[in-house]
Amino acid sequence: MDCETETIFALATPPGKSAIAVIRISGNRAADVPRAFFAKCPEPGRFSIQTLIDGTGAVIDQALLLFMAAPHSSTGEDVIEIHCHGGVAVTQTLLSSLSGLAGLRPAVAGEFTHRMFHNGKTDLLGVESLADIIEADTSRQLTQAWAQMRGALRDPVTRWRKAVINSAAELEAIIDFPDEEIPASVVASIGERVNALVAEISGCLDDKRIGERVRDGVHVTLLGPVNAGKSTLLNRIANRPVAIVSSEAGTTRDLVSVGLDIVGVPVTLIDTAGIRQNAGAVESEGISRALSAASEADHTIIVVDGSRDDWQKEYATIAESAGKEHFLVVNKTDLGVTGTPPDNAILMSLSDDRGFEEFLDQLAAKIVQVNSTQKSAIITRARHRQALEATLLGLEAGLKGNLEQSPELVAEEFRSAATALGRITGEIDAEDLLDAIFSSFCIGK
Amino acid sequence: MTYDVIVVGGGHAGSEAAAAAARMGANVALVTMQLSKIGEMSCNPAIGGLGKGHLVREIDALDGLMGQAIDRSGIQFRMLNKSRGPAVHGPRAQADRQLYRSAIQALLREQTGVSLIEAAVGDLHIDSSFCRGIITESGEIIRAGAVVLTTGTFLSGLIHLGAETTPAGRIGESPAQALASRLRSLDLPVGRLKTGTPPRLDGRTIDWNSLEMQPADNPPVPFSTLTSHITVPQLECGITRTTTETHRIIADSIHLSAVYSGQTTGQGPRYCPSIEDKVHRFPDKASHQLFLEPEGLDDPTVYPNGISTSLPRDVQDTLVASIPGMETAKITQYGYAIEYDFIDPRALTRSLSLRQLPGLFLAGQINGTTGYEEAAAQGLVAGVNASLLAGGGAGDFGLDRSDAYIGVMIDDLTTKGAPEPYRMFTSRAEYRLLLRADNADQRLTERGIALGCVGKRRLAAWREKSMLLARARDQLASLSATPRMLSSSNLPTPRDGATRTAADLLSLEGVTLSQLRVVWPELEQIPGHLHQQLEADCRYASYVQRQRADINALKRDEAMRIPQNLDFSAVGGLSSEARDLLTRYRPDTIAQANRLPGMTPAAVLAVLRHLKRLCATAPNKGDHTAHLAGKVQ
Ligand SMILES: Nc1nc2c(ncn2[C@@H]2O[C@H](COP(=O)(O)OP(=O)(O)O)[C@@H](O)[C@H]2O)c(=O)[nH]1
Repeated sequence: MDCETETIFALATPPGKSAIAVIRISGNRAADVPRAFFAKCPEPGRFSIQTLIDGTGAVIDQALLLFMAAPHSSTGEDVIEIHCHGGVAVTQTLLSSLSGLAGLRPAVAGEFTHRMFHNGKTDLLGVESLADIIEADTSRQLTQAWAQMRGALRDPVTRWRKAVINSAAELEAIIDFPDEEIPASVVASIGERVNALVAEISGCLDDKRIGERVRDGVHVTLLGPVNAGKSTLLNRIANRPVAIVSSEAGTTRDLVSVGLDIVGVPVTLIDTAGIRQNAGAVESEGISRALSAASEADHTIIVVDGSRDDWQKEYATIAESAGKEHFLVVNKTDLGVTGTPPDNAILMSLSDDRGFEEFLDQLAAKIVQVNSTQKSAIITRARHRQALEATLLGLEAGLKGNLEQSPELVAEEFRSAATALGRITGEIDAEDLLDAIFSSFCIGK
Repeated sequence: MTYDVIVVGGGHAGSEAAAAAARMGANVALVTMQLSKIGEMSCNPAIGGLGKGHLVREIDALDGLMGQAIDRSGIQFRMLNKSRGPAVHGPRAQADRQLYRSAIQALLREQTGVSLIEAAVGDLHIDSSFCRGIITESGEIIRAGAVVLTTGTFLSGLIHLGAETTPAGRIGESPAQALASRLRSLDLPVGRLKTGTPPRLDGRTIDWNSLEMQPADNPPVPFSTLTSHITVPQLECGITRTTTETHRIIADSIHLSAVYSGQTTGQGPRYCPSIEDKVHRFPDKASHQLFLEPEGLDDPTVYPNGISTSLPRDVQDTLVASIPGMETAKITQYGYAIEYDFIDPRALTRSLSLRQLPGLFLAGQINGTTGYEEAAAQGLVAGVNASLLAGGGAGDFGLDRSDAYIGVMIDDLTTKGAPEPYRMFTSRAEYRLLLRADNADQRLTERGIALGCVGKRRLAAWREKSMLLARARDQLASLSATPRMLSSSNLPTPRDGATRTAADLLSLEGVTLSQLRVVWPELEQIPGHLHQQLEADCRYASYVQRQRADINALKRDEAMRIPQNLDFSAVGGLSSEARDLLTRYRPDTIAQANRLPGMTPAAVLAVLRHLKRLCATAPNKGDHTAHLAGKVQ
């Protein structure tokens, strides 16, 4: 039996006990499945409640059956869904009976979506969005995933690709019909249009990686001298009565982190080893890790002990090695503050909670600001960005070329730009990309 | 009488097919209605152009006739796009119609193994579902191992001139009806196309003095690598334009044009429109350019390139008179439109054999192409395959899209069909920078030698040239210069301070080999006729490098052959549409299946998996096993 003809099935809900479990079956034998349980297959697009009976005549369950006939189903094939009671015995009996049916086999990870793509029900961006919808932890991630599903990137990319192909086609006419008089205005307008396209795509790339940050989350690193109160701050946030802490808190490398949901954006707050001058070998290792975590992070918060005499000096050193935008928290104000902190510093005391809420507000404001300049196109994955960068490279190289003397080279550059754009929606090289994308799916999707 | 190969038709496809089969060692009969018309240019007497010129160079690289024939008969050689990059140079030449015909006929007579037979072909001789020869109209059976049919527009050809219609192949030739009904009985997919031709003028009645003249290139660049220089005298063409009066005449009478009165049903080409089409479709354009091209050295006939029409005679008279320089010109033959049936080329394998009737190959206009060059290129491929088949081989020689324009054309035809008359363009070739007119021999001659279709003379010439090229390339890669040397010789000087090889320098726009002799006098050893080729190789090297990955992927997919007898209903997981498509058009390779319009990746994958399974159950069956296993895992 060829694997493509095989009908696949999988439990679509999490294993274990639940009120209801759903088993999904897709393929040309799907409609035969109810008969194997002495039940009837509903009409296409309908559901019916059926008693499912095993080979010995024993009742397995009373279940709701849904039937969607090809091609009007999620996978484009015949699909049956069995909504049964979510008991372990019920689902196990049904699944093992399904395994025994000729032409049926358990689905491998991502196989339903794979079929969906191959049967033309969606494109590569659709497949990615679907993964993002399932993986979304915050409302903002969900909104973004749905925007992506509905064309936030697909629409502009399709339009750009068409524009590039049109410009290339005009060049081709100039090349292939040298005796036809092609007005000089056509040549000029190719340059103009491609220039406009370059501007639009560059604008889209200049998005401070908003889409990727919302999808992947924002990383915030706490830097500061030993004993400034970083761990205390992290714990304070984690134990805040209004829980903003997500379940992902844990230890990464030797950095302690806590996951937060701040205005719908997943934020990972990372505590680092304290920074101290003249540190020992082991500690320097931790410090250099702290600094590298800070350099990878989207934001850095520097926490200092404001009661220490030399905190300003310590701060200056850390700020220098952190080397980028950060915001300053002057802690332990209950013990008094030496000197005058800068205006934009947050004065806080974790002993009596002063300044803590202000700190949270500031943190949220920083993150919202980063995410507020939403552009029309959304880049949510590194591969989108790489493809758009390759597109720009091709278009810019084309613009530098001489349309009159070497139109064939310009056309070649435009062609490569169009190819790069085609990769985003999966018109080109879909197979390789799919393998990469599906590897992140789990069984039943 | 028995031959290895019979070629029916003596046009450009037929001549090339017969000669190619004979070069391969076959005993060939070329059967045509009038021997004197072999090599006739039925329409515009010109060879080459963009894409078409590339085809001619490729035919020449495989030792075909067309390049040599035009070199002996060209009266105006012009390299189109000369000011642009070498990849889009388009060699073109106007021909003396009569000289061209005699050149082709002479080349065919010189070729051993070709018998020219004057007869009308009545039918095909079919023996146990295999085409084994032909039956002449007088009833004689001529047997052969394979037959190549190159009968152009003879299938239900219908000429339109205003409201008049005449059934015909070309003007003055009767269409071969019996053969047509035989093909019809095979239940092949048939489509209808149309093409047009302008009125011919008596050049002695044209006011040449009032016209802008376009001279030939000096010196003319030959098509064939076997031609050292052109000896035919070169003529000028006239350039003139339509006027507002011309456009008014056409607008007033457009309803009388066969093309507009609804009299024709065939699909015409978008790129070679009739003058009524141009006026109708581009109303903003006040004037269209036309070229007045002499048809021969001793022939006063002039071909007004650009005013193909099927308007009635009296309208053609006033139309011609409305164009500067042509006020008193006499029409010697009126323009007309011709429509004809063609066999949907998707019924062919990439070796141009008809799937429904093994032993029969089709080439030329019958497959939906226009143009002598397209026809000749197909003729060559069909001739080679017919001879391979007759010799007991598989007869499945084909070129890939990354090998040659010939490969691009045949792949387009056999996967996409011919929704309009198919003409070659450089834009159809995705590897245009690699597939150049200047390197056709580098790409193809060795393959031709391996195949057996390259004669002794060319073999010797190519081996010599190939040796010189290799030597020159080594030299260019080994010579290097410091920035100081370069700037003192007024050559482009890199700012990074690094040394550059001669090959590096040639990749820069505008740098030529002769310029480099200032730095390296030893480059003088490189013969002048290699310069352009070497310059172009260097110029495009980085781009070609970039395309390698694509080309390799294509090659891998092209290497995955789909057996011609594969039962697609046994392939699981195919949608019924995909199964219909595959069964109907039977792609030869996975790459072709991939390009079939309407094919989904899933269907291609299903076929791949099926093939893999076939290979697994029957090990060592074919070379493609390894490829398939690699791809599907
Ligand atoms: N008085 C006072 N002590 C604090 C404050 N925040 C933290 N501490 C104390 O400072 C010490 C070091 O804090 P810790 O969070 O471990 O510092 P870290 O090395 O930066 O992580 C602990 O004993 C904390 O209880 C504060 O606002 N006021």
